[in-house]
Amino acid sequence: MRDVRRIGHYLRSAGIGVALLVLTACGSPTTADVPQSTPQHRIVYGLTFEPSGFDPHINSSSELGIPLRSVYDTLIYRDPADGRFVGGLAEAWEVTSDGLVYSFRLKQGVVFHDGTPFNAQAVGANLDRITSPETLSQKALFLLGTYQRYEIIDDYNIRLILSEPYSPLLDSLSQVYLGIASPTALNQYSAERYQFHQVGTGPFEFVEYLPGDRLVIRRNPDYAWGPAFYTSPGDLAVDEIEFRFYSDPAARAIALESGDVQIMGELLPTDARAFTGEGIFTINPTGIAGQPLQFMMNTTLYPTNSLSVRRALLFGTNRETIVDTIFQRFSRVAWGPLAANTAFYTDQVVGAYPYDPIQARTLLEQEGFIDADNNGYYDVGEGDLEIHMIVPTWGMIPEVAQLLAEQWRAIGIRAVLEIAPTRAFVVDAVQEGEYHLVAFYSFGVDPSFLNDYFLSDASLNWMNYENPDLDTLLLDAVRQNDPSARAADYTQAQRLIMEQALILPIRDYVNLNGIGQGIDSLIFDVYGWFPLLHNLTVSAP
Amino acid sequence: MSAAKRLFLLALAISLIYLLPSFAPDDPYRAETGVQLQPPSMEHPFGTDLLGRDVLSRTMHGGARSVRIALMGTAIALISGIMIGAAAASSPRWVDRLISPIIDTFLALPGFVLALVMITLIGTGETAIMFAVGIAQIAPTARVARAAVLTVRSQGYVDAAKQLGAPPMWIMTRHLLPNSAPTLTAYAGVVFSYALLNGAALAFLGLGGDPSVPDWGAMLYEGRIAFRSAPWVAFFPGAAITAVILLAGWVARLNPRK
Repeated sequence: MRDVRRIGHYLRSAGIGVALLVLTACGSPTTADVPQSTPQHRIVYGLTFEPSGFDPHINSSSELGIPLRSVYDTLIYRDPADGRFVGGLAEAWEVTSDGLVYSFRLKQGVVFHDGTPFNAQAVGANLDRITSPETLSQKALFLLGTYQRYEIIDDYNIRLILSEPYSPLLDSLSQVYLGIASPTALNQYSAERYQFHQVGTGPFEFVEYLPGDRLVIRRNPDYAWGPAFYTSPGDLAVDEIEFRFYSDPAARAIALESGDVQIMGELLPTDARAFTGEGIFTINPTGIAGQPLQFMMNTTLYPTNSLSVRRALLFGTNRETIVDTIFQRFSRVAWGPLAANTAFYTDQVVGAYPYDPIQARTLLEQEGFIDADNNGYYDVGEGDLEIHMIVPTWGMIPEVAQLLAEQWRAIGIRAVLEIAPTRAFVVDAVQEGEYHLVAFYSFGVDPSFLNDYFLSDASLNWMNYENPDLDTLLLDAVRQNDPSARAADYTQAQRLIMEQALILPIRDYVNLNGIGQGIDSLIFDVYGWFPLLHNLTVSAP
Repeated sequence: MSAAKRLFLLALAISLIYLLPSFAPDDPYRAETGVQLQPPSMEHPFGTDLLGRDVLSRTMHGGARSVRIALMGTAIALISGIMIGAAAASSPRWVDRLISPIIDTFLALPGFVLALVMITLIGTGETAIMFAVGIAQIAPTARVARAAVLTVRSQGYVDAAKQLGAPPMWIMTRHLLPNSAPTLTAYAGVVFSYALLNGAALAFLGLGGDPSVPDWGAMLYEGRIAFRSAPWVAFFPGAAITAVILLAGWVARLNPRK
């Protein structure tokens, strides 16, 4: 009797399972509009987390660009070798001397994956979509800066007109967030649905995206309009790539080892170091341009409102130890507000605050701090000299903060760490205002992102620092067309930021990619996050 | 084993956990460069973690914090749960009809999810976790207390006391609660185990406040990110959590009437 009941139970379960399968199949939002063929060389690529959305015009995560960089072409590319601007969908461009008009001559014969032609109208349609208030663009819109409107001259010539000079525009136009999508597809699907049916002109076609499960792209056999650094991968070309999500850092090395994935991003430094010794997997540490891992120092709250205290924190920090211990020597020590592979980085900030605990103590004592109760910490009123830190849980920041606390114990400062598990927690804690240091940073090649942090009225100016001179430098740097004038502005800005000890930079961000045996020619663009998958091949048998 | 012996054992275990930090061989915060992720040795019997800290000392210090959170959580759950459950069982029917659906509603939510919601509302840190894990266990404790009191209430001697005109409070303290005690003490072990596990889980998720403060849950997380190359960092706090939960279950299972 019990067995009969059990069988009945199994049958019911199986029935429900079949029903669910049928429902899933019918309701799948991601059915591909791509002709099916059997891929010869298929690989699985591990992404580290699933972004809230995969639409490059709408969403802002770096993660979305890893697959989509190869689904879309951009008007301009940056050569991965030297960062120079080279033609993408635009074969030539001109900027007027006042920096207000950008004229692009577009390539002819380019076809979207849905068979529709690429032309100036398509570029216009993309700009309309990005700038439409309904799109709620989180990044693409801001990359356009002072862009005002476009003028179509003919099918293959278009002008972009700005309200004010905005020199980062070429860099913006070379980013995947401003990738050119098929206007037909954009019209066919709503803003929410388009992410499941993306159509570009790139070397790979979008096949499907199943949220929480996978995103698949397949090689575009007709692709013949790529930039010069897209070399012919030949017979061994990888022709289908499935992206899977591994949000748990500890699971990434295991997925690579078990053969579930052939390429995995953001391995833990300890795992990457272990792999380096074993020689089975290749570790490809790719520097990410932008800001280093940095703590912003609140210049309006006692005691970090004192320049001496901020400088003492910098002198009291042994960054080499942090890089050696936590990042397993895969990262460079950061000395200023820009990672070394960012445009207009200056090495004039290198070595500005070497590890010097004696100098740190001297600065604090000159500021009048004493340790009357002899408990090892300088005194503030009845208590100790405390530094309150907001510590996000990503990027090994909690481990860095713990080492900082330990290092600052040696200079008589007690660090109090407040963990912030999500970005919302960080923003809440900042709004409460009771912090001295908070870790936060952005990525990008053009340093115009500094304006989001260091302008007096910037939304991420969590240092609460206001300086008209710095404002002038940063604003001038995005108006100047002449690269040497921009370099001069950014050099001064970087020096000023460090002279005022506004941030505590720790290390340049590095993506530790693990690559399995049998994969060749994985290269990344100058932004560091985005692989140029066109050249990807499997090794010769 | 008598109730006294059982209590003695429990007290011994808890005071041992509280005393352990003073016997820790090393400063649990001291990060020593050059000895990170060392396997167990004479100098570091439990090995060292990613920052070069002594895992034995951190396990000893972490125990005091994790057990303190669990004990306070258990106290919060037991005091509130027994009061609510006993009130539901011994009051007029309409009070029970009011309280029971509320208990059932909270029972429908997993304790850990409830604790997570509490943390979101009251913030992170040791005190927050104590309340979160305690409040999460109130509903199941109230349900068990209500059932236990109802069982005793239906006994003849309780009826007899009522007929003799004994006041309700006297019946509660002399008959209902003492005779429900075996069930409730056994259940206290379960509540303590959940409180310890949930507290560790919240700390594991980084909600325990300052990450440098040793805590078994936080140590499990630290160990997990180095698990491939240094399994000892996670193994020892994990084993400690398991041992304390087994001990709590064993103590709670002993029948005081034997």
